Amino acid sequence: MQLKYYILLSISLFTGLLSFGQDLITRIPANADLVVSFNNPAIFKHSTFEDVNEMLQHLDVFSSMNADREIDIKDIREIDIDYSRNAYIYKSSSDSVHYIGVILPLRKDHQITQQIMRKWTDLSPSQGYQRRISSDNKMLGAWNDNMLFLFFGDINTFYFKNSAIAERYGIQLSPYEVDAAYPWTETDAYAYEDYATADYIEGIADSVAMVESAVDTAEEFYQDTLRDSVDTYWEGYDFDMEVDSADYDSDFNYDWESTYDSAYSDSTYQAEQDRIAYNKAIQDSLFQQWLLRDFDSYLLPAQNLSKNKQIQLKGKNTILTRVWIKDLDDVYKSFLPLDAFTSSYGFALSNLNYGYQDAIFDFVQDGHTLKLSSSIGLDKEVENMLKSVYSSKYNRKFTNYVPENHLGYMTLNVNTEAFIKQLPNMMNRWYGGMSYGILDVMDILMTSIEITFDEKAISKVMRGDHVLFVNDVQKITREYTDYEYDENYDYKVVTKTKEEQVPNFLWMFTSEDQRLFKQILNYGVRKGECTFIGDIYKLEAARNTDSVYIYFKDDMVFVGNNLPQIASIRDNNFRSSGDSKLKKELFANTASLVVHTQRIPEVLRSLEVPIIKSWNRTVQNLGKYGDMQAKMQGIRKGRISGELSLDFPQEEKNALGYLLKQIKEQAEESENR
Amino acid sequence: MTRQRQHPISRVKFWKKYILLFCAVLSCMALSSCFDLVEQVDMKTDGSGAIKATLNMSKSRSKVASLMKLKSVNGINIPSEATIKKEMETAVKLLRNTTGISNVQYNLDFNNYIATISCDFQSINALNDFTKTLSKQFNSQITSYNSYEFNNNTQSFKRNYTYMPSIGKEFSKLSAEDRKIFDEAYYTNIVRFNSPVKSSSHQEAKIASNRKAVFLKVKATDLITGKANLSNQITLTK
Repeated sequence: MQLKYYILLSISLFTGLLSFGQDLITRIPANADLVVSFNNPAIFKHSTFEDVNEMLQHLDVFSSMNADREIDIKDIREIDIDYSRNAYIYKSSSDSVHYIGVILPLRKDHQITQQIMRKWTDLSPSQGYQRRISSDNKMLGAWNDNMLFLFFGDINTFYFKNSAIAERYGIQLSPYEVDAAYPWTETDAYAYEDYATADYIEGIADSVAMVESAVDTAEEFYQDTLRDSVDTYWEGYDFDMEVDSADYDSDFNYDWESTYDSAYSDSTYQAEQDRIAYNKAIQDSLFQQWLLRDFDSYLLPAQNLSKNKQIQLKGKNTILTRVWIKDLDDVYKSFLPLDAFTSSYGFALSNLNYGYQDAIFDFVQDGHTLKLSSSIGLDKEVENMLKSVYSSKYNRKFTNYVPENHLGYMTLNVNTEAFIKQLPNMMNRWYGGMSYGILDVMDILMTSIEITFDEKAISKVMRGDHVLFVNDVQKITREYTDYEYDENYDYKVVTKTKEEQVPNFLWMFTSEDQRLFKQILNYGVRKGECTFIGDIYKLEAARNTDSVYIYFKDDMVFVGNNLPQIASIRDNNFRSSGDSKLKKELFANTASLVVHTQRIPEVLRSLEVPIIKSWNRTVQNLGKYGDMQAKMQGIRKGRISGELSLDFPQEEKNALGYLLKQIKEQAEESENR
Repeated sequence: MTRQRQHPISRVKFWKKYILLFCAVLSCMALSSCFDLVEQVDMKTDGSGAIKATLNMSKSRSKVASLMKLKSVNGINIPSEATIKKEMETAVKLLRNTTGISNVQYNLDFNNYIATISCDFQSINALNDFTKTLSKQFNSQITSYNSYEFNNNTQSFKRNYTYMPSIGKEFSKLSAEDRKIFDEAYYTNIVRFNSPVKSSSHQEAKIASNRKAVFLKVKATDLITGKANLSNQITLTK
């Protein structure tokens, strides 16, 4: 018996130790639609507590925490969070409510209740967790030796605009709200059938009890608070107060009585305020009850996202924070005014479907580079459409025309033929579902495009691959007006010249059929808008701009404002950069923007571009940075991905260290201002 | 004796707003820049005459063009072309309604950034009234340190100028680099007469070969820092 006891004890201890160190990813419910993962080990590997504390102090985070959440700390280590494990924040939404869960790993022997939730009310323990509720009943907390779980959220008020739902919960809809179409009414109807089970009926019984309770609360609130406050307000108003007529313009004889029925307005306004307050009281009460009801199931979710590889950060030491979104289309739609469009214009925006699925956004620290990378899943149909659009290759001959000194470049490679071919499909797919009326118009429009445009012919005019270099600055001679005086000081206006620095650019793209461009330019020559000298077209300078030169060579078109550079292309003596890495990078992405940040101060200085005083330091600092890059890769394995990155100065241990220092210094500067 | 106490000269006042604006804007630039303000006054024996003022920034037009694309620099609002045109039209309208002022002409050249305004005045008093109006319109105090007098009997023309240390104080707040922008900025004043000039009290002022004009060109920095003084007494041959 004793042996059995010791074996049991040993297993319990071992299990306990295992569970203590485990990742809390198992606490993210399977129905979460957004998860933010904080890779604490990586964050504190690349920075120090001191740096983070200093930054938070300067940003007044601690003082605002103190004011809002009754937390009095000056160092994040004063909260017993275990920074060697990941923390998570998730959001889960339903038609009626959305919840936010915060999962924080705790240190052994923590004193978390002494640090936060001090003034919260104790609830009965559940499933081995201590529980508390905030004073406004809108936030719940549960903790054990291993973790802290904070649970809050809000009601989706639009859910209650549906008349059937409003009636169920005793919500009073105004006449203009009654007819407002609720976009997911049909879905709800299906849901009722699906859930017409014993559990569901039991749930309904609970709901009925909740509604009754909520209505009671609202009635109570209405009687006690609203009526009282309204009465107090009116009683407190001095109707007999004498008005000083001198304060008013005697000429102002507005006929208030005939145009404004104050009694009507006051009563209507008050009734509306009462109705809003009454509804809010019901909704608040419902939310508090739902929050409490669902707390336990979210604390220990029956199904979780631990198997979801997209959330896991184990071993990913460079990713500091990851945001995972279950369905990007849903998020996008959540920002659209669905109800307004549906009720006002008849557009079913809820049917808008870009084909975006899950999305991952990573904040990455890679040595002295910080990156924000994204990867978005596409559904099969959209993947097939976009794949062909992004499938073509750059014209390799562009590599012969890479300027040696340039400030940055931009590339774009879209298959024009595939794009025009896919345009009707894309428009139908993305916008066709919004309304039958729109679908009809869209069909006509798209068929017109199909008939009108010969995509093959257009793609020969412009294939879709573009490279634009912002070159070094160049000296040009500019004319200006001056005055010359004779011996009698009569002056005459004279034109003089001076040298100025201007930026120049070189844009190249592929065109197999250049007839259209040449015909337009020749027409311009005849009209005197441009000139044609030595096989180079010169577009005359518009006001305060420089002339632009165009040259056609083989299947390429070159456009730029540096005549010697364009001439060197014509004369086959262009000095192209020998940087093979750069040439490889040029063609590596569907679209890219690269700025050699370190050159910006020098170029701005030579261009005499005005710098706002508050930017002076920032601009000077740019000289220490490396490249700033934005890249969009094509479609790979059903996903489209992109990346923003910046090479930071190598003054600190790494990029994160430098960023924290900059934030701190900027905050100090603001304080001193 | 018909000695008249003259009021401040309007043309200087008129340009003040734009000069200040452009100076302020240009002061944001790191490198040297230049602009010219040329004032030409044609005085007749009876005290009437004409003025023409030109602000020429064509040498810095690239910089001005880039500045005009910004809404504000260092807290100073940069007016749009439309705003400048509107302000100019308002000012011209006021001028045309000023008694004794006629033939008001203006031109705004946004290609070369040259602005010109000219008008005839029946007497210096008329100009002074106009100055007052504009001073009120642009809320400026320039009348307190710059004024003209013309004595018909003695045929003497006098400019009173008092240096305002507050301008220098403001200027000293600019960084050394920002102050450089004024290095090549000049203020030129040409006053012409029908009668030959007998004498001019300003040491830097030059009398034309035909003795019918007095020319004074000073660096903007000297004016701002108080090194240069514009006070001058010109006596004409009777």
